[in-house]
Amino acid sequence: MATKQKHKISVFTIINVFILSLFGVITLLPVLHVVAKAFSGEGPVVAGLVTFWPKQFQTDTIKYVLKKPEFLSSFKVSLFVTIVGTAIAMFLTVTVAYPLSKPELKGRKFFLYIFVFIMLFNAGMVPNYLLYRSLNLTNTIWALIFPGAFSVFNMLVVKNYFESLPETVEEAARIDGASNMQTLYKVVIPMSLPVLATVTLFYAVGFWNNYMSGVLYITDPSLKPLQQYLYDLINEALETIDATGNIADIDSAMNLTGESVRAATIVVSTVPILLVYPSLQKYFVKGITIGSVKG
Amino acid sequence: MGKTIYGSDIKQIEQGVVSKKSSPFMRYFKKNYDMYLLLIPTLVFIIIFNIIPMYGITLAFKDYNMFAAETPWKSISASEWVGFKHFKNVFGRSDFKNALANTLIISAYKILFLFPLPIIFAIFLNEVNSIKFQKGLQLIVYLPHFLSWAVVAGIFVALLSSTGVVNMMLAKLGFEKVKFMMDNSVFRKVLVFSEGWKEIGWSSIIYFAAIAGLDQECYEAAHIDGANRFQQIWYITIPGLMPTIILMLILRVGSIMDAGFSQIFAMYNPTVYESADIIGTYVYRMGLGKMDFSMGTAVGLFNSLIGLILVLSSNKLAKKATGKSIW
Amino acid sequence: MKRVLSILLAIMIIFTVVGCSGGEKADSPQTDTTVTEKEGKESDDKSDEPEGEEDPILSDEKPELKILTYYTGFNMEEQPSYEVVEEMTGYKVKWFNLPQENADEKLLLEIAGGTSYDLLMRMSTNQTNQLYVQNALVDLKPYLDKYGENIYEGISDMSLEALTDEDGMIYAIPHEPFDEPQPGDNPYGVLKGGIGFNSTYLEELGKDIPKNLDEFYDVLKAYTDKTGKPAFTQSAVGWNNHILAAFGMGDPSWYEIDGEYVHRIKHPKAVEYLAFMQKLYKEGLLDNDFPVNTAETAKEKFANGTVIAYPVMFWSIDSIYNAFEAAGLDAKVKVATYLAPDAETDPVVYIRQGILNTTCIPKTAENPEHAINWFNTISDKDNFEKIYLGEEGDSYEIKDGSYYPIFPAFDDFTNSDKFTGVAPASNVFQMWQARARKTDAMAEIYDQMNSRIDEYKTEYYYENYAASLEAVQKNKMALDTMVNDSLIQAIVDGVDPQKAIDDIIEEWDKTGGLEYEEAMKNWYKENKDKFN
Repeated sequence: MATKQKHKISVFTIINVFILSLFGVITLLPVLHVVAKAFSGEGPVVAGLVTFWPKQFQTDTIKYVLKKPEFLSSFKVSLFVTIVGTAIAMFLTVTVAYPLSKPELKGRKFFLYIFVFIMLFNAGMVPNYLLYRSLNLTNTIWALIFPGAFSVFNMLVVKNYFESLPETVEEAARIDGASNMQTLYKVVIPMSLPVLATVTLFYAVGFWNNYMSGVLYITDPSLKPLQQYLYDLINEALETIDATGNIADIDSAMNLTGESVRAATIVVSTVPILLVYPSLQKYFVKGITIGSVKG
Repeated sequence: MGKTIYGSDIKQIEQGVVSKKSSPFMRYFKKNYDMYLLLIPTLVFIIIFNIIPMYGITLAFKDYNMFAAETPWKSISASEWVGFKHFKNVFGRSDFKNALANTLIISAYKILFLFPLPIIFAIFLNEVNSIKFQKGLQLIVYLPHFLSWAVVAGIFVALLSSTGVVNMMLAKLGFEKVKFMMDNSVFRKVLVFSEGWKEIGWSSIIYFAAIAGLDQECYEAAHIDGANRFQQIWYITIPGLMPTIILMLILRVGSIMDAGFSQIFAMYNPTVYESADIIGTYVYRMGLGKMDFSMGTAVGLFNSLIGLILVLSSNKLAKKATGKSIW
Repeated sequence: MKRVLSILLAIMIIFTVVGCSGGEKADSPQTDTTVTEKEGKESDDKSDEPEGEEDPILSDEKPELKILTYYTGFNMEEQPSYEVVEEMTGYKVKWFNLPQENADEKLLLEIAGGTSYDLLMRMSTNQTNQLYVQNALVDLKPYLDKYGENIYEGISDMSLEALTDEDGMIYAIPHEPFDEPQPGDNPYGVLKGGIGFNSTYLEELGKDIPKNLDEFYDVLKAYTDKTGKPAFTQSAVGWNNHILAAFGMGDPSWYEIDGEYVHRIKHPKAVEYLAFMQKLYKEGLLDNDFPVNTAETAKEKFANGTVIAYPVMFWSIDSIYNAFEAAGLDAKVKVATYLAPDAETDPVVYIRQGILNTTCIPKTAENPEHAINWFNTISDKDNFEKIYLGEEGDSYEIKDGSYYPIFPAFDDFTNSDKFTGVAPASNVFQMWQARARKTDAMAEIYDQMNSRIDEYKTEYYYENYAASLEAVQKNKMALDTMVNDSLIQAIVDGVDPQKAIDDIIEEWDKTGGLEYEEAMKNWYKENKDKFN
């Protein structure tokens, strides 16, 4: 996209495409392995015979996972948390990144120090829990949303991008009588779609992948987020034998989820979040030609 | 109302061109109060959810007993001060030095090798003319980010075991087998490589976005001037990415104490503790923070302090070297 | 325009801030709490009144109970047993789960934070003890005396005593394991795992299932010599209990030697055990990748026919047979259970006694008497059977005194054990065995594992009763991990076994081992007379 002109296919392009494709294949193969397991029979999976293509192909495991009430309820929780959470997070991020991107803003440095401080320092498990408890937020959906609803890292990324926008465009808007808020809404945001798309993706993925909030604030199984459900499923298998070689809880050990069911759960709980990126990708590749906005 | 533009507004204030009716501050505020309004929601949010709980950091210097007062919140102040007892308890252990050294070494390796790669990847992918290829490859390489380390570790263990594909190939080519997962001289490389495999695609997204935001006219102008691809990369793309690169580097350096707990926890085993046991895994394995919230807070505080020092100093360094910084 | 916009924004901000704190209340179960709180208080008041003809707790409307239990991979309310229990007791129950990770911390936070659960069901002894030490638990004695007839009947004196303090306060109800025979019972069925062998490979080598250490080594050696592959694999554990049996040890961590209670790392045979494992590793009989094995990769190597032997549990047999079939192996699994030291000596089978987990009531509970009443109802002998196994002839049957499941009805009882109270029946262990006979293959291998049980010596061990001692809680986990890790390292490094064990003991003594030992030794001295 960088150069719109037609090039002859050069040696550089061939080598470049080859190396990039190789990298793509290397990353793709292990992912295929997990997918192949999800569609294979239990026997080949346990015997370790499945590599990149399903053996004893079947879709029953996927169907079984999709019908599990625990999966469905966790899926709904995570979907809600991701959508609502990302919306709140984007609002909190953009509104604060814009003023802070203005070097002339009085008190800017003070605010930035505060944000960097809270980025690096975390009060820890106990005070956070007690806060949510005293606000009556534990065992509510908000306990899954607020912990991820603002990230200083993402805010700095947005602020950084705002700073790189040419001041002339904004000035032009102000000459036309726009207030700061109008400028943000009408000029700055449309020019910043690539970075806003990125940060939206970061937040959405952050919400979808978060499981610690569930561990810390939730005991009601109907509010368990999907990642925690998945994580538990994977870890169950690892933690049945303690360091003395004894099996702690036989009845639970007997009912462990099989390997192909786990692979199927990984697949169905990852696919939805994978769809976010393609839908945002158009903002990446097109690029906003700042020149056209420039007066 | 609002006819004056932002930039010249400031200049007016600086030059002391102020109407007699209001003080410079009031004037400034009147023009820019909506900027502060924008700050309010987030500030309220972080005061409630980030700053108020910071009070709990005092736990690091106390023997916290949750039941010391009628509520656990009040118990924080009711608990006894013990000074640096918890710090001494953790840092005084014989194995701690090893864990600290490993944390720093592994983190440094990861920064050294894995910080530049996503940038290089983004730049070179950008050089491919086919949008379809760009889009498709972006989608593929970010997939592994979504697999948890427990799953990824399983795959790497299978690949790198003595009967795994890699060793089979080494054997066929006439090399000796390598105990990737059990050799202290190799294991760190496995950690760096596997993290690279998992995260390069994901980390490059932010650079894709930055490149997408670069002014297209520059490229066209450069092309007309006869600049070749490498010159375009060198004179346009990289300088354009610089603010992002610097920001990311400062933040990455600041998180040096996080050498990748979940990765190492999923991948290591007793035979490589010597080279791979980091603070997080050590504390976890020894059950140090277990039921001892004060000690957990102490370790966290230590990590945060190191992070703060590194962010502040690298920010200063960046400002000196390039004139750019977080603030 | 500007003004309008900023006012709008200001309203929005206020709305977000207020809206959030207002909104969540409407969604949260906290609103329910206030309702139950009132009800709870009312019934509290009533129970304080002088006792009339009829106990108001038993006749009044029953409140919804909030019960916190340990991690279960499933939602309790989605289980078929949920409704069975609701119908049986008349109580609606809202179930909560601790997380799989950080469960101890989470429990402490929940209780200290004042969340009002009516019952904490199936907490570990450590967790209960943490709460007891902090004075966060209710004395159950008055409630048990009044409503707990079935509960008293179903628990052993020893377990009850372990959870009663000097002042006579009963701070928790013990759950004893279903899957172990009581002293004096028929030990048939106690063996649930062993070292599984690939029967085809055994035949090809012309060997029988090994019964003692020499035969075991002999089979492994023959296999590796013939194929060049490792013969035996396991996951990353330093102590292999089945091999340990040949050195006079096994599942327990502690052994009485010359009247003293000794941890197995200080057991006189520990060095020999390590030397044997080192030999297996060095000669390539033991999979050289075992430290990086997970339970899965180990199973995989056995299931696809790489190795001849691997520690199997009876319940994994179906998946192994499926895998055998997929890998084109026509083999059965033959199990060697605990190995004997030599041809003349019988191995010892150690049978665990103790408390599996505990149920208690926090001081924040709103309906403690209802909770005990509920728990008492499910602890009734007939009710227990109905929850646990269902009706005879419907979901299970008894053939020659052994319990067998009937499908598909038995599928509803897969997780029913999580809903049971104390086990009042003396034949709980026999009832549990229905679970071990879910499939023909499982029943067959379970039977084979236990076929030689009469030849073994059986001994009961009681160390789990000491799990709640402070010195044990403080040190056990870190020490166990250290010993396990160091053993693995020593097996791989092949250092002199005596020196390796000495080093481990040195580290042990330095890092709290002495304190742990002293506590265990004292506890054993005080209590050993109670063990029969």
